[in-house]
Amino acid sequence: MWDKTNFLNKYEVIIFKLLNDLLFLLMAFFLLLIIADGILPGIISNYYDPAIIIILILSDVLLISFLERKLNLKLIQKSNKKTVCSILFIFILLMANAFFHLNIWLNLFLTLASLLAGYFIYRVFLDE
Amino acid sequence: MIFDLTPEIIPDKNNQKKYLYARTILFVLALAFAFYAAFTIIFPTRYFSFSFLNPNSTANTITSPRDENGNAPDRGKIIANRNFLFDSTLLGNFSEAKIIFRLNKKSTEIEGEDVSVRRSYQAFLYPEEKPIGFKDGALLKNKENYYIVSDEKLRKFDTNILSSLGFNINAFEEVSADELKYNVPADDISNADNYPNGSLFKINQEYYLLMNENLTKFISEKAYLSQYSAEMAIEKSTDFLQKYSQNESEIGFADGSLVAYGESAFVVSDNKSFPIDSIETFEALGYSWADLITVGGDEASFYTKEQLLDLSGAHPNGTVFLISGQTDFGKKYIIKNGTKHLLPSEKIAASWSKTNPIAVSAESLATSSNCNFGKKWLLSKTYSCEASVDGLQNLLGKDYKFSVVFGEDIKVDSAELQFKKSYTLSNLKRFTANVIKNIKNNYVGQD
Repeated sequence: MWDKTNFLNKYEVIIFKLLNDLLFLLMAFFLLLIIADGILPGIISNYYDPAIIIILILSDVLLISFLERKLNLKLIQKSNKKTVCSILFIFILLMANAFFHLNIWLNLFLTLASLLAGYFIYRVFLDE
Repeated sequence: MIFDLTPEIIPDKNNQKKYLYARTILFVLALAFAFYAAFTIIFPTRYFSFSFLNPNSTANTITSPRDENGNAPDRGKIIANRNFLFDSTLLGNFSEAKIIFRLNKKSTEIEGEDVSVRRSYQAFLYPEEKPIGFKDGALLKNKENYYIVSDEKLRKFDTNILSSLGFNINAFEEVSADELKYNVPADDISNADNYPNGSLFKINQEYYLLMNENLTKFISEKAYLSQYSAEMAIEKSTDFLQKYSQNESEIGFADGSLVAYGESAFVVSDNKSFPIDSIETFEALGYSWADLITVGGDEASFYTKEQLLDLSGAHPNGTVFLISGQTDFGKKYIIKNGTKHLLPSEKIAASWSKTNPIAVSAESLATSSNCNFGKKWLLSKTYSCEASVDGLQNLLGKDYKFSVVFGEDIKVDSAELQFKKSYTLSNLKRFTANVIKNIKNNYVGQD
């Protein structure tokens, strides 16, 4: 007979890794959605609610953190400069695109202001 | 391993293969979902429904199910041998419409009944009544004869009376005898002391219309100019206001005009204003941004505000449609109280509306797609039929009008509509072209 507890104990590392893979896929879908909707508003969000992907990502992150604690895993916190730079670049483009119809200087000012606000919010979280 | 977020966590040897298989399955499933999502976006299906058991529900998305007299069916009871009509509003082009009727258990069968689908704007599909002539107040000239349209009738001015009444000869528009026949002739105007109904005056920079010995003021110069030209009004001093009594009510913009107040756009008609709920609706109704007249608070408050005009709304009275297809090109129609009337000439049309007409296809009236109701399964009370609407794709308009005549009285619990796009290369091309066009409109400007 199938034993759920035994199954989870036996495959918890695989499940943990699969949840991480799923997180990667969900993030890729989300990035694709915001880029496509940024270029042409509604092209995806008219059919698929972005909130669903966000809920899925958050649930996945919760499960990952739960399993991480349960398995007592020591994950290495590393930041890949290339990834950070490319994500930041995409975010700058998306922000500038959101203000596309504004005057170029106002657009630059708002993009920079948004980036600064984002940076300070990040610092607040990091300090705590 | 690529895209591995946790390379430092390595499953034991026994599990490594299992993880690899599971991971492959996960990525294949993700890829399959991506394809499925792309397909549902490129070839979407749109659903509409109506519950006859709960006809006032906001969840009902099929527009106004009714009989040929405009009466809504009582608890789903549809009378035999009467045209039963309903509409749905849809942007974009679709290939197939599936109509589903779920009958009440006690209802009679409807197998084989024929459903017809047309595409246009709801108002353009209204029944056609007789053509109409020039609008009241129009000043017309044919050879040496001068006329005014008064109470929809054509009244000729006696010779030499024009100058004594103060009409501007240049304001009279040269028209043909054929164009004049659409207004019934009435008595000639021979009295230089009294003005005929429909006469227009400019007193103290304000415009007035004379009707039944009463002067009715236009709410503003813009409102007057949306209906008549400045030279049509006879200039008078304030003393003239003593001669005729003044009406308390006022006259607004021409019916069917588009006005902008603050951030909102409205269609005005019959002293009512219909706020347009979105840019999408404005464009889907075929309106032109160039026709928007900016108004002040006083002008906007003259109108009684009606409910929002959304995507499923119909054009109000005063809207003028222009046939832009190959058949009957240039013909214009005006909407009046649930019917459409031909405006027999360009000049007659210009007397009714100064705005750009809404482009429609003449083929919308002649072209329809049909299908027959069939039972879902032997004992089922659900009937459906699938009509190909591919042939309606090139017709202008956002509305699909469905009509069916049932041979016997039936009782329907609910109706559903499904619009599908077939998986064809031409639909894929159309989708791609549409995306490119929208991106260009977004970043380069309107085509």
